[in-house]
Amino acid sequence: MSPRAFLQIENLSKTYTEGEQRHFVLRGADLTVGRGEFIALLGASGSGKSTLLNLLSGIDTADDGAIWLDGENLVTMNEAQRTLFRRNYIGFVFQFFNLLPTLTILENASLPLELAGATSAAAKEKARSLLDAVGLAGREQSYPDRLSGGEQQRVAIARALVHDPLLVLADEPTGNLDEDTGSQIMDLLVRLTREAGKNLIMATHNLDNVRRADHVFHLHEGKLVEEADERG
Amino acid sequence: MNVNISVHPRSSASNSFFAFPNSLFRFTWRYLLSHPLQSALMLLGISLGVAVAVSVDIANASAARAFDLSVEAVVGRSTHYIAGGPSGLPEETYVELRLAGLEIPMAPILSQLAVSPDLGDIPLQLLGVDPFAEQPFRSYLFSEETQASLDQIGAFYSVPGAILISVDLARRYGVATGDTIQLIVSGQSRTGYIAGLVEPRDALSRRALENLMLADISTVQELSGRLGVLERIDLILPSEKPGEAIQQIQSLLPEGAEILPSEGRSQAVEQMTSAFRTNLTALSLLGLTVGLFLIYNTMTFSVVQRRQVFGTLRALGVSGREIFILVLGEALLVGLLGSLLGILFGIALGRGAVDQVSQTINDVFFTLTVREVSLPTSSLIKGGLLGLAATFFAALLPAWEAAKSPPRRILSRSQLELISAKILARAAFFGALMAVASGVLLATVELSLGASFACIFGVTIGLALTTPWLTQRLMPTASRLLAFIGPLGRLGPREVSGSASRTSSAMAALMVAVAVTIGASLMVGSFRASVINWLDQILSNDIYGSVAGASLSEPAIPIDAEILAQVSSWPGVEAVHLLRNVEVDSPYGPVTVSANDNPNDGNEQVYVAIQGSGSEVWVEVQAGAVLISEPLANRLGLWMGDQITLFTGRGERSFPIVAVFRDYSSSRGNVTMWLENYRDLWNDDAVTAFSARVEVGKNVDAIVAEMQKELNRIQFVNIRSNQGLRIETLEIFDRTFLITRALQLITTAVAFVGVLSAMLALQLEKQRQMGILKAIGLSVRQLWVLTLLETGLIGAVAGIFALPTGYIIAQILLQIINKRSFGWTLQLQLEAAPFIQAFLIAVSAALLAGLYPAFRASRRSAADTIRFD
Repeated sequence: MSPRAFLQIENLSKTYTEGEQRHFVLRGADLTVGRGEFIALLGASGSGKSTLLNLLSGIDTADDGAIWLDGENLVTMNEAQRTLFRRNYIGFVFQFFNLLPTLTILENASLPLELAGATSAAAKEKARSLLDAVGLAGREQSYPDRLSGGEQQRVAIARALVHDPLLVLADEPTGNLDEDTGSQIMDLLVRLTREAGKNLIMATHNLDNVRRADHVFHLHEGKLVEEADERG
Repeated sequence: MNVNISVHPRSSASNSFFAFPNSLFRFTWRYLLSHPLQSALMLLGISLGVAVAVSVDIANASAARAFDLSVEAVVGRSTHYIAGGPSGLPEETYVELRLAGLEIPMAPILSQLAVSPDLGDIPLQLLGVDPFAEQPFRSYLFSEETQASLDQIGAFYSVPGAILISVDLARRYGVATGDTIQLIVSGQSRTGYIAGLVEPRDALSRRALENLMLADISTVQELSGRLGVLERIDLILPSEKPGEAIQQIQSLLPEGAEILPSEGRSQAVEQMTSAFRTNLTALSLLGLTVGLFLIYNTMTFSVVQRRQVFGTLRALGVSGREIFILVLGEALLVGLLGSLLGILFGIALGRGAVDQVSQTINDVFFTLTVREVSLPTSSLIKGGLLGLAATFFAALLPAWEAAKSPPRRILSRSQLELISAKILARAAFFGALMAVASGVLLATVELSLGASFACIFGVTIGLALTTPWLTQRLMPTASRLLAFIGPLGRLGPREVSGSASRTSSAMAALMVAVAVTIGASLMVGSFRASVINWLDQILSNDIYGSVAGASLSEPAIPIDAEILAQVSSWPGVEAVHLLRNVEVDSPYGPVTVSANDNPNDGNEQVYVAIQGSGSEVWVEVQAGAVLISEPLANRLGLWMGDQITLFTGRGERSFPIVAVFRDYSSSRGNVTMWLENYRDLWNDDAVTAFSARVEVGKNVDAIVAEMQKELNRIQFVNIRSNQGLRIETLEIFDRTFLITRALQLITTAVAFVGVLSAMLALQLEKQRQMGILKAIGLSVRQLWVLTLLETGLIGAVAGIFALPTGYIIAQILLQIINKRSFGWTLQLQLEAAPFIQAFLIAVSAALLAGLYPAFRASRRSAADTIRFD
């Protein structure tokens, strides 16, 4: 592992089998990311962006290779270890928000911290400050279905950061929002992760989002290629 | 704005695999609250299932308790008793035993059932005792605490008809010390004098005394007209070397008197009522089993509906095991609430069931003098645990399914159905295996009653498990058949087959409920038809008489000789036949003997085993042989060609069995012999029933009415015409199966709730699809048709599969369960009505369950439903 690397992917491979056919999604992908960097992942639909995020969060398992994150190799972890790892060190922002409909937004935002072992009061206090930061002060007791798409994504950002993760993974976070709202959300996400010194890895098609990244990688035929010109 | 995100050092991150934040509990709780109808239906399903189990358990426990108390009240702590047979023991025997100076506690007893219009007309035990000898036997009757005042004791011995009753009984009917009351003893009206009230000292004596009238033994002798006679002498023999004491006493006894163990008195009846109770328990468990399908259905749906949410939770770091516990906990929460509600509901139902069960035991088995509803804690705990266990097992699979939810990735509906199809195929294979194995076990092995019921469950549940898979195979054909309706006709069957993951268990539950309805209806119908045929054969005379208050099937109260004389010389009566029905002792416990003098009786029986003709057999009976009934043959393991031993007034005698006959009047069974032989052996001239043939052309009903009026002046007797007796017998029959029908109805109600719940859940999930259909032009009417077509198809399929399953259940009930429970074998009478009715029940229940979902779907606007997602 490179001494400057906070996250290092080595020769990562992943295939899916459909019937008797094997589809290669990743074929020996490599990536090195320094602490606090924002990485944008580009690629056509089906190129494997989401798969890579799933592997980085331990949701899915690689066929081969290694993922070193803060000195630990995710690929060698078992299911239970990966669940604990995800619970403690990963923050997620999804395209469709995926908030829990029966919990208030305060409860949604505080859940990861509670899962990580904090008391309910401490978790709520922290979640409240983050909801304040994303501009949702006073809406803590609302339920997700009372919020607009942009507001729901703000809650998702608060939820992704509340437990002080090592890495925030975002999969098309603005894909379901209009341009203005998307831009506001991106500002918020990038600002908060940078202020907290967190790494952000984002899969996106949106070139505006790409421009804010420190590094841009293109996923093509299962390999990651850094494309500096994408940043404009 | 700068936010300090770091709130805890990395090293303190959670390593616990079971971090259960409050939010997760709220998530569960609010899901249940946000789907109130679904949660309420699940609660209803569980509580109905538990209520049925609890109510039957309470009824059974109350009946068992009543039985114990009835026995306890008269048997007390005696280890043995001296029996003198039907004619009783001369009281001199007791005096001689006392004078012999034996150091063995003994107490003479003469008991008689009596009713009093002043005490609610319920059967009461009139117990004649010697108060000075009672203390070691029934201490609660005459202890220091319960002893009456000196005045009362004086009246107890000096006033004719003096009795003691409990304070509770007196209070209940508003009578007091010094009152006189009317008593009907052995069909005769007598006057009783309440000499005192006994205050029970504890709960046991309160219950034992509840329906007891105590009197000095001489008073009971006078009231029952059995002067100088004892029914028995209770003994407490030493636990060491009781044989020596028996020998010593036996040498002092007159001919025909036997020393018998006390426990034998209750065992035989206990065994038979226990079969009846096992049948009820099995039926009640069926309600819970159908409830189990319902719980499974609801839980599966709630998991399927929240797959995406579970996926998100997994992505946030909640482990599969935590989700498993979460879902299981959710189910158990509903299970706990449902069980608590079920217990309350069960107590209310139980009060009604106690009356039904007691009535059946009185009709069919023996007279219970206690009808108190006891609420044993064990019944309530058992009901609660059953509900929780049922919920736990029903929720296991859905919980496991939820735990497997892949993080974030959500399976598409078609993928889900693909998985579901695999599960259905496996369930069908396993179900078929289970049904065949249970069937083979039933057919080849002599199983206990409980095990036989377990096998019926195996067959039924096994076949239920094959139903959803078979439905999948059937739907393409249905789609072709319904194509004439248009696109909806094709869409309906496809929807049924395409939503198998949601509707399968509801369909299986409905199939079980309907199959059981068919099975039970066929069984009861066949049984009823057999009884009618049998009555046609055995009721060949025109008029039947017995003492009022005596059991219809086993009249045991002697008829006054004056009555018999009058009937014999009644104008228009051609011939009179006499019957002595009596319980005699035997090495197998008490056995009922029916002795009659009808020379044609051999031809009036329906035989199960016979060599030669009815007339030939009857000649042998007149010569000293006997016939035994099928239930007795099965109970004692005796058959034609064997010998049966009875304790007669002349000692132990064995009788050759020359035939076995059908008898549906009693599951205890009886020995039929020639009256003259009985009288000779038992020295007992009593007659307990008579039958009379009326001259041709005479009006039977007029004679019956006239006889009833005239003969009641001598003794309270019931005179019934052939038709009247037939009607009364069938009334008792129908009363016996009333509780069966009630339980069946509740089981169907649980299944209905299951289908309703499944349909509601399905329609909720399909709101978007319905919205799209509406958006592209589906009218409200068409939406109703589509929904009802779908539910109607589910009902029809469940109904179709229920037909053969119900037939199989009926065969097992008739050929195996009835024989093992009551000793009867019955022929299946195939009628179309139960099948048609059951099929209609299935379709109507399903259609009814579709009404509300269709109404809800039709009310929502297309825009709303599409936006919903």
